[in-house]
Amino acid sequence: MRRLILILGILVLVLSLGTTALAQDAMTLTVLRFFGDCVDDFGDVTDLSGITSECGIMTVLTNIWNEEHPDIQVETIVADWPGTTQLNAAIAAGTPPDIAVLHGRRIPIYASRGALTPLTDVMEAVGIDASDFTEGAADYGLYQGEFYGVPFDLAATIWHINLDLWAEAGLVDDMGAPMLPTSVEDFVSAAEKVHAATGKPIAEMAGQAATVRSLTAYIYQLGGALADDAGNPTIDTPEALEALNFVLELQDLGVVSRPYNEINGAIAVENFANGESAGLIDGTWRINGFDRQIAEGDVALKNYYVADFPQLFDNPGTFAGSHNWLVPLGQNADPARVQAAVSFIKWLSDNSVVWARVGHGMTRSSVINSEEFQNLPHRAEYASMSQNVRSVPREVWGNAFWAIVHEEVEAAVLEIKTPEVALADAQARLDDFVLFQS
Amino acid sequence: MESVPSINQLGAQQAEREKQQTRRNLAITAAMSLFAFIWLIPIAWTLSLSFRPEDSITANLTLLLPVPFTAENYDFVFSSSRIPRWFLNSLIVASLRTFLQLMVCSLAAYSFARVRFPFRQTVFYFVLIGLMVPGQATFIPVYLLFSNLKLLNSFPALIVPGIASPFAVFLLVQFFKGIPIELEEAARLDGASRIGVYWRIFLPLSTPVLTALAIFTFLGTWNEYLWPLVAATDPEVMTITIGLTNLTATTYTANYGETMAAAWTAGLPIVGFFFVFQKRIISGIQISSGIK
Amino acid sequence: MAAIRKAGFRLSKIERQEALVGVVFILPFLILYVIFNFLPILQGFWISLHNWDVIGTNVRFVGLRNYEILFSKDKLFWSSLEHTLFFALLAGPGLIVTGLALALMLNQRVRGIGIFRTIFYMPNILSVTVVGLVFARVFAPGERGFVNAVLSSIGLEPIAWFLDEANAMPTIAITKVWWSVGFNMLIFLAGLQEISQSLYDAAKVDGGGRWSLFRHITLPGLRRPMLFVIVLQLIASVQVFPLIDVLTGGGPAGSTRPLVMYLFERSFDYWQLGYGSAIAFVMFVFLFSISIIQLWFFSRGEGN
Repeated sequence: MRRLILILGILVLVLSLGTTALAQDAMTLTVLRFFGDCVDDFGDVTDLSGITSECGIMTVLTNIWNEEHPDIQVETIVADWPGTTQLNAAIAAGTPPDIAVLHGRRIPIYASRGALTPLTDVMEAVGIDASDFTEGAADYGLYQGEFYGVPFDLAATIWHINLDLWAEAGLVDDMGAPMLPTSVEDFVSAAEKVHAATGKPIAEMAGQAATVRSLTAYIYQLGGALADDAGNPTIDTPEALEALNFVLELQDLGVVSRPYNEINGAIAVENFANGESAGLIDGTWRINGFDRQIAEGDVALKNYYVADFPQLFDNPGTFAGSHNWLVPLGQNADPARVQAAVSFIKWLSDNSVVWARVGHGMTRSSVINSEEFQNLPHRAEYASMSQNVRSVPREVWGNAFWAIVHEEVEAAVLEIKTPEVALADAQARLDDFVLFQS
Repeated sequence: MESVPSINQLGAQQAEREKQQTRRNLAITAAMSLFAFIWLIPIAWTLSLSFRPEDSITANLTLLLPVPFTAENYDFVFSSSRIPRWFLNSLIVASLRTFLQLMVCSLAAYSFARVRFPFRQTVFYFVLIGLMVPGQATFIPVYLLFSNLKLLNSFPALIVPGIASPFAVFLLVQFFKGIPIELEEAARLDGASRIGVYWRIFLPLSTPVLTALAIFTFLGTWNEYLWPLVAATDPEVMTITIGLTNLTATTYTANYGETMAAAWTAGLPIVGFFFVFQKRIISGIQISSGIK
Repeated sequence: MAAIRKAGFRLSKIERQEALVGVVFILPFLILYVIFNFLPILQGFWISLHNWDVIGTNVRFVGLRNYEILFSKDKLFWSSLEHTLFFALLAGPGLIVTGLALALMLNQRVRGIGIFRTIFYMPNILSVTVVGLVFARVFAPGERGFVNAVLSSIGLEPIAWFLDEANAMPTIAITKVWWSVGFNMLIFLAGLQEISQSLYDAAKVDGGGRWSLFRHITLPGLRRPMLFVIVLQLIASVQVFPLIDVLTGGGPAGSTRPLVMYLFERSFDYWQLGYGSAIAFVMFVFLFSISIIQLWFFSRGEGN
């Protein structure tokens, strides 16, 4: 009996040694990401030319990596957007993926719980130059001064413009660029001109999300902040009230957006493509989609221009989210594994200019200054976006902040609550949240 | 005035009654058709969308006719070589779960409905507890369980948690209680065992409700989202609902055409399944006639 | 006396055999049930006594603190409960009455009846995602919506279906009835099969009208399926979430947020799995008490 156990033990030992030896031969990294599944179209493709969809670019980048790095193979798990359901379950079970993509604002809560691997030193070791990140962009990957995520892009709120309708209103200059408003008065008079000439709104909001993003942008432009010095959320502020009142005023004028389109983003996007609005406030991620629709010639939109989010108050400021690559292996992860993971992330980051084809802003100065980037469609039109972006405060309440502010601002937009009450309610709920976490 | 009707008169009356019956049937069919037409509009719309190019959908979404017509959405869906695999996975998972659930739960339901054992009512209430807690509150513990068993990304993970359904037991108990006790007593007197009564009397007599339950479970498993999303991320065991969602998901747009084509691709077999089995719901053995 | 006791003992031996059979029959079910349903529920209760991040970090025993917060100062919990009950009140009777009506209508031997049954059942096969996509547009506001397009073509004002606090929940309930009444229809159809045709024949001989047949034979004959549908509909309505999530996301301004959505937000968006579990447990106690009362109410006067 004992001999049997001994033999079994040796067998297990040999087998496990064998498998570790095998594992050392080729390391397999799992990547949990959203952006969809398009293996059928791009499964064997290793040529990036002509590919402009998020899913296609990501799949082909991974294929190229796997071809060039037989020692570190990358295996993709497709997650549902925004990627948290599977990630949370996997972390809870102690079987996290080696790499995951998340929006930067979600980093603080994971990092504060020790679920993410600190990356600052590894990034340096692998050769990611942190000083290459633009000032606004670097913030998205940081928590308490340490990098936990590598910011891959900037998905900013911008102003999609139908030049033909602006021209009808006499708002296009000799160079063929729209005359963008730079103050509240400017904006209102431009909106009235467009409305008078075409009967259409100057800038529809692509859903409630765009309204809230605009609101935060205006708060920044007014010199306000979303957190106090102690890092607690602040939304019931004079700047927020002024910004919210401005948003509501525009709505009351009847020349901007119809409230129902503010809620239903999809309708606003269709309206813009169909030439039923002169502008759309929405993200960078729509740019190549509109370009493709125009190229195929099936939509009323013909002359399409991409402008920065309007600066109507004293300070520059616009909203952006950022997709970040992170290593959810915890704080005491195997250094070799972490290094391999970060080297893949570095490779993605080095090739991020391809990702910019989607329309997203870039996070690295070297990429932004590259010729390839500058030559992408529309880039000159919204060039200052990367400098103006402001990250959500790097605090653990980042997630709750969006959900709560969305709901309360919607109440104000639909006139269910007065702006004052809406902001006070939002503040009370945020305070509750912070209190609960403590 | 009331005379005995002649045979001729009787025949005329019957003909009149039949005429009335036919007219009534026609009226019913007409009413049902109208109602069914309205009922179908949203479904017809999904079908139409699945045959329209996306840009035309953008321009005019609320169009009931697929003009211009295209099959490109289906091309897209069927271009995936993995679809047959996912289809098979869904078929295996849904069929096995449905079959096992029907067996396990009907046996338990028979016991709850007809066999006397101590604390029967208490145990029954204990089972009902399972109905009262939403799945969203328990899927993390179940996930951790399968993770500890190293059974994630396997068919058992997709099949087993749904087998013991308090819902099914509750439903079947209600129907089993309605089966006349005399039938069972007669069979017992003839020497049938409990299992024999269950197998030869209760199961056949419950064809309508068992079919309804089978359709419900099969469908629920086929369309299940949250659990397979976390439990089966490996394309080898992925179900078609998750696979198609991944295929048609783009982060920012609805993609009506492809989504609807995917929905019809995944849903058509179930419509067929239903059409075939609904007959059993009505033409199940007419148990009660002749008894009582 | 002794004879009776003796008889009692003899009976109890048969009873023991009977009990053994009963237990063996429920055993496969019970084992699976305990592992995959009951233990997770117990674990959920245990979690509800903690601060517990959804990823399993920051675990701290807090006793009944979550319940205390829930009952003393969580306005959203109470408003979610209110929305949930409002939904149950709208959708529940709608689903039962429509389901019964459809079953009666389709329980006839008319040519092509199978096609009709398939049609009325068909919405049930759609996944919640598809229903959401479709009905967000069927009831879209402005003139982009299906119903509104019809309304304005006959000269009526468009209605802000999902965007109006007063309309949103009824619109959700209508969608719910369309989507899932097919299942109730099946259950009632199956129930109608259990009613003996001879009962109707006898009553017809006695000259009973259609209403009287329905009132005195059909309805009593459907007592058990009815009990099932009513109890289940209440439970399902109180647990409504995915449908509302895809149709309104709980809006406008949180006015249609149901309990399970709130539970989900707290557990998964806010990471407060402990608090979310407390909500689930309170829901459970509420549902269990009501269901037991319903069952008791229905089983009064029943022999066993």
